[in-house]
Amino acid sequence: MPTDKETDWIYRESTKKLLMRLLLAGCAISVLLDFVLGGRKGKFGIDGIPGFYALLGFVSCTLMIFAAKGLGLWLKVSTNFYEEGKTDDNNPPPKKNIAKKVAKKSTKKKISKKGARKVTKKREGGSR
Amino acid sequence: MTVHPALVLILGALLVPLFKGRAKSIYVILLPLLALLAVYALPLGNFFNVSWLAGFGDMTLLRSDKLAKAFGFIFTINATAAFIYAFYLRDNTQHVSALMYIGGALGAVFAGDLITLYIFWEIMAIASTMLILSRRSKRSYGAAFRYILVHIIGGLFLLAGIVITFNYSGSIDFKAFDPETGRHAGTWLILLGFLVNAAAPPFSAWLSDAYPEGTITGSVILSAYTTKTAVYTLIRGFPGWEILMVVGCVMALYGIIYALLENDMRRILAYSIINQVGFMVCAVGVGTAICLDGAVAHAFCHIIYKSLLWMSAGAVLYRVGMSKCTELGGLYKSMPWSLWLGTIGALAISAVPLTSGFTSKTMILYGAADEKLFIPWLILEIASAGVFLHAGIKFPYFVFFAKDRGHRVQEAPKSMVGGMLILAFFCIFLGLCPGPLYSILPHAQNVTAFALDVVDVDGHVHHFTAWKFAKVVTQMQLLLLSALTFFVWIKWLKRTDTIVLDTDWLYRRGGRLFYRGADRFLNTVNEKTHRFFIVNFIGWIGRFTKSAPSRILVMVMTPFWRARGLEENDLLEKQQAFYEDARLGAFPIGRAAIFAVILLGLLYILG
Repeated sequence: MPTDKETDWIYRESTKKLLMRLLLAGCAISVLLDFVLGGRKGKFGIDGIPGFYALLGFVSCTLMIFAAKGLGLWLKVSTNFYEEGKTDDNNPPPKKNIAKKVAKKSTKKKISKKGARKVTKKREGGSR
Repeated sequence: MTVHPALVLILGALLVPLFKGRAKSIYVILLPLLALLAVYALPLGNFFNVSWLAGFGDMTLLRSDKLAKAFGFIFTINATAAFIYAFYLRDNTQHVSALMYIGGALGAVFAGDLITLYIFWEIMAIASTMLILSRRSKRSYGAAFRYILVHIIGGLFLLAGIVITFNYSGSIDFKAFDPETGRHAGTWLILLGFLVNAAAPPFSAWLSDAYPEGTITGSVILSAYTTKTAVYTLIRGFPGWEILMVVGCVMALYGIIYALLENDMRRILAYSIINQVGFMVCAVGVGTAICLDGAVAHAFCHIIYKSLLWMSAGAVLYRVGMSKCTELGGLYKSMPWSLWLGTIGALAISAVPLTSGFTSKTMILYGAADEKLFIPWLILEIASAGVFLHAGIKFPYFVFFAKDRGHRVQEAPKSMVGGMLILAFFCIFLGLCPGPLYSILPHAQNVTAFALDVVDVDGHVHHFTAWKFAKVVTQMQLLLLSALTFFVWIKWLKRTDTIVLDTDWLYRRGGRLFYRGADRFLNTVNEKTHRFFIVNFIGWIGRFTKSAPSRILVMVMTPFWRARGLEENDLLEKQQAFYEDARLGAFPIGRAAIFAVILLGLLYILG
C-alpha cells in the first residue's frame, strides 16, 4: 500500500484537510463580511439579515440532496431498464432480476468496504 | 447588401461534401464566421417580404431587430467555436446536419411571421435528429426516433396554434401576444409548442433522453440551439404570461433534483440545461424589461458555458470512451486542459463572481426581486445554490477527481482545446466586463463596461450592475455554503450505476404496459361476453323457443287433467307424453286444432 507521500498530492489526507479548512475559512469570511457590511438592505426584508444567504445555501442544498435521495429510491433503476425484454441477437435480454442483483452487489460491496475501511482509510481517505 | 444569415449556413451546408480533409474542416469553420459577419452587417428592419396566398398577409423571411440580432450573434459565435472543436471530424452527415440545424435556428430567430418560424422550426427538428442518428449506435437510433416523435407533436401543436390564431386575428404576425386579451386556444397551443422545445416538464424527457446519445460534437451543438430558440420565441411572443413563472420555477428545481440523481456526466449536463432554461422561462413570465433583457443575457452566457461543459465532457468521452461517473475519476492529471477549461464553465454556470453567469443571472434575480415576487425569487436563489451543487462541483469532482480509476489517457486533441479556450475566454471576459453583452440587449441604454440602464414600459429607469460589493458577498456566501453542503453530505451523493425514470417512461414503458393492460382488459371482456351471449344466452334462447310452447300448453292443460281426476303419477306420465309429442311434432289433428283455438283465444284476451 502506498504511503501518504507516495499518493498523489490531491488524494492525500493532508491536502483534503487543507482544502476543507480553506473552504470553511471562505464560508466564515463571507459570513463575517456580511456582518461587517451592516445595513445591507434586502428587497424583502428577510434577505437583508446578515448570513441569510449562507443559511439559505446550506438548508436548501441539504433539502435538495435528501429530496433527490428520497426520489432516487423510487425512480432509480438499472442502466439496462429499457433494454430488458427486448429480444435481438446483438443484445440478449438480460435477466429480469438484474436490478435486484445490482442492489445486492452494491450492498455486499458496502459491507465489505465497511470492514476494510480501517485498512484503506489512508489511501481512500475520508470522503471529504 | 442584406444577406440572410440562415441562408449562408443552409446553402453552405450543401457544398460541404465537395471539400476533402483539412479543407472541409476549415470550410465549416468559415461558414459560421461568415454568418456572424452577416448578422453584424444586418441593418434593422424587415426584409425579404414574400406575398403568399391572397388574404394571408406577407411572409417576412428576415426581421432584424436588437432581440433577434442578440441571438444571432451568440448562435454564430458558438457555432464557430463548436466547429473549431470539431476540427478532427470529417463526417459529412454530421457537418451538413449541424449546419442545417444552426441555420434553422437562425432562420427561426430572424423569422418575421409565424409561417416562416414554423418552417425553420421543422428544419431544426429534422436536422437535429440527424445529429443524434450520426452516433450510429442502437441506443442513438432509439433515442432519435423518440426525439423526432416528440418534436413532431410539438410542431403540430405549433401549427394548430398558428392556424387557430390566424382564424382569430386574421394575421400571421409573430409579435407579443397580450397576456390578458391574447389568451385563446391558438396562443395556448403556440405556447405549448414552444414549451415542448424549451423542455418544460412534462415534455422535458426528450432532452435528457436524446442529447447524451448524440455524437461528441453533435451534442455540443445540440445543447445550444433548440432550447434557446424556444427561449427566444417565448421572449418574443409571451412576455408577462404569468404561467411561465410557474413553469420556469418547476424547471429550475426539477433540473437540479434529476441532475443530482444522474450518473452519466452527459445526462447530468442535459438536466442542468433544463435547470438553466428554467431561469430564462421564469424571467419571461415576469415580463419586465429588465427581466427580458436578463433572459437574453442569460441565454447568451448560458450557450457559451454550457457548450464549454459539453465540450469538456466530450473530450473525456473522446479519450476515455466512457461517460458514467461510476467509471470515471482521477483524470485531472491526464487531461489538465479539459479539467481547467471545464471548471471555468462549471464556475460560470454556478454564477461565481468574475464569470459570465454572475453578470447575467443576477439581472434576472434583480428583476424578480424588484417586482416583489418573493416565491419565484426564492426558488431561483435556491436553484442558484443547487446549480453549484450538481454542475459546479459534482461534474468536475466525479469526472476529474473523486476516485482514481486508473485511466491514463492523452490530453484532448489541440482543436478541442482550442474550441474550449475560445468559450472559456468569453466566460471570463463577460464576467469581468459585461458591457459588450449589455450593449446588444433589446432595452439597454447608457451602457458602460460594468453597468447599464434599462427603461421599463412605464418609463421607470433601472440602473443595473452586478458588481455591487454586497451582491458579491452574498453570492459567495450562497455558493461557498453550497460547496460545504456538498462535502458534508458527500456520502449521500455516491454514484450508483443506475438511470433515473423520467416522463419518457410513459412512452417507452407506458406504451408496453398500456398494450398489456388493454390486451388483458379487452380479451377478458371478449371472453366473458362470448361465454354469456354465445355459449349461454343463445343456447337458452334455443331451448326456450323449442320448449316454451309445449310448456305453456302443459300449464294450460294441467288444470283440465286435474279436473278429470288424474292421479299425480298419471299426470306426470301424461305431461311426459305431451312433451314427447311436442318434441316430435306428433300431435293428433284434433288436439292441435284445439290448442290453436286456445292460443288464439289467449292472444285475443291478452291483446
